[in-house]
Amino acid sequence: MNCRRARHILMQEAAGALDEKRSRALRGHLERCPACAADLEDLREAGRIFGRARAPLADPSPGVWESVRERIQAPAGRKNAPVRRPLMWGVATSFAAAALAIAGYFTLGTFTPQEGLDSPPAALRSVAPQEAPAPQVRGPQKPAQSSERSPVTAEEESSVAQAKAPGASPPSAGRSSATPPQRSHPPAAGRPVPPAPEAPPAAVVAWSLPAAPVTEEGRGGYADTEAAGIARDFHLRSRAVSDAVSDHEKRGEGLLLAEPPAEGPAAAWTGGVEMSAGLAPAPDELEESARALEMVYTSPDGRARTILDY
Amino acid sequence: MRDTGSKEQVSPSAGVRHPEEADAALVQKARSGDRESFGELVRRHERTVQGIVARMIPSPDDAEDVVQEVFVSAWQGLRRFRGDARFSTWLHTIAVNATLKRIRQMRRHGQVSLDDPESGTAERLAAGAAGQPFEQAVSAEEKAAVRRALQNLSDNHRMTVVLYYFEEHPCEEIARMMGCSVGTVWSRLHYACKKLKQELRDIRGGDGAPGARGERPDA
Repeated sequence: MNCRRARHILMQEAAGALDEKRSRALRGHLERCPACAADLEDLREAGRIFGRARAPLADPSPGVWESVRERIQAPAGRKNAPVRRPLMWGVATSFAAAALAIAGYFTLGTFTPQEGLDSPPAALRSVAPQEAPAPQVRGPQKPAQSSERSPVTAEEESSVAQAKAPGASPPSAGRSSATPPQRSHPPAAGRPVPPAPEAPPAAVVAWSLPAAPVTEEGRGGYADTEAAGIARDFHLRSRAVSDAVSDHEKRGEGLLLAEPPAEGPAAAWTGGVEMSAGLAPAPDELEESARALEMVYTSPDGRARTILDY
Repeated sequence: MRDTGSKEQVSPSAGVRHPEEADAALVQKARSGDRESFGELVRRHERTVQGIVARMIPSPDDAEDVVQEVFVSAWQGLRRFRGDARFSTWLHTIAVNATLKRIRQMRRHGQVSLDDPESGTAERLAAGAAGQPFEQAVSAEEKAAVRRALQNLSDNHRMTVVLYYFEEHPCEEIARMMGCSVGTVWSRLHYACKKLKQELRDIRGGDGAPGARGERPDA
């Protein structure tokens, strides 16, 4: 075992979660690597401190159920109802654009089912493979056609999530009405509800970038440095991601890229594609670590599968 | 090592002993429209949901609102819950997503700076809604290091720390809740711990760790 492999499992060892076989292999490495051994001790100490820092919770606010009941009993309980939002596509386009903006969390596409207890679970219905958008074009990315783009908010513009949206439905007000609702107030009556989707996807898959902006200084903050690292080689990784998504689509699995709905039940977000900087344990290793990329597709039945480990 | 199910109290009204079985029975009734059964589910899980939400959102009012949203969303989406995961995991997934969403909204609207040391957010992460101080076993410098480390973590990293260290969920559950791989959860914990250790070193004004740090033979 070398240091690189050791670092991937140090945290598990520190938490006592490593299986015996790998733990034995790691211990063998630690005997001849004082740096990794010191890292392990650091992780153990930090874990102990985090654990001790935990304080008991206060009692829950009284009347949670009463407030919830009031909200779900409201006749026009549509304030919390999900709103259909445009389905946008263009993985590589968005990745390339994001390399320019790297503004944080942004959308490749989104789907929010319109459903409640009285409607079928739209978010979990299957998607016919032919309904999946065509694989993304390799190479230089063309901007999305204006006729295919749905109107976006200023925020979406800034995030440069310009992706194709074949058959996109009209945008909801959700994106621009992100202000948290009034507390303890019943849902507003009479809110217009968009029509139900014709072909709800099998799963909503999300991916995200660190929220922090890129900074020149890179004060060592993880998010800053991670974002900077991603920005540096984003064009390379966009190709890899695009390939992975296309391959996934070719297998007819109806992969959709989305972010959690801005409104409506968060549970509608049933899957996730996670971009991770991998292990980023030390500043001198950040650049290397930032290249690590993982995409995990979680199917509606909850099975997570890595579709890209770059 | 970690069993979040043990946190749940078995409700006498549920008529079964095992918390998951009790949940399943209540979910079954709630899915058929029995609001009182859902109310029982709310009472059984409000503490853990509040734990996730209140440790991440500084404003008690906002936290309370998100807690309500979580349960309203759960009610609205109850038919999607098919029982292949524990109800608590499903519910906590909603809580995680709703919390992160609210934080994004708050940051977007400049309502609060979660990284503002004056807001005490980092301390609340560990302390919970009532703002209790850190545990007494934590020294002043450790307390400061935890605060600074948490402030400098991304939302996802902070949430991972909350779920693992403060709410004591196993990594597999955290992965499900956050829609990522177990490896990513470990990676985030790794980074958070390294961050905390670095803050400790900075506060201690040296390398902070006893003993010299050796060179990697094959790095």
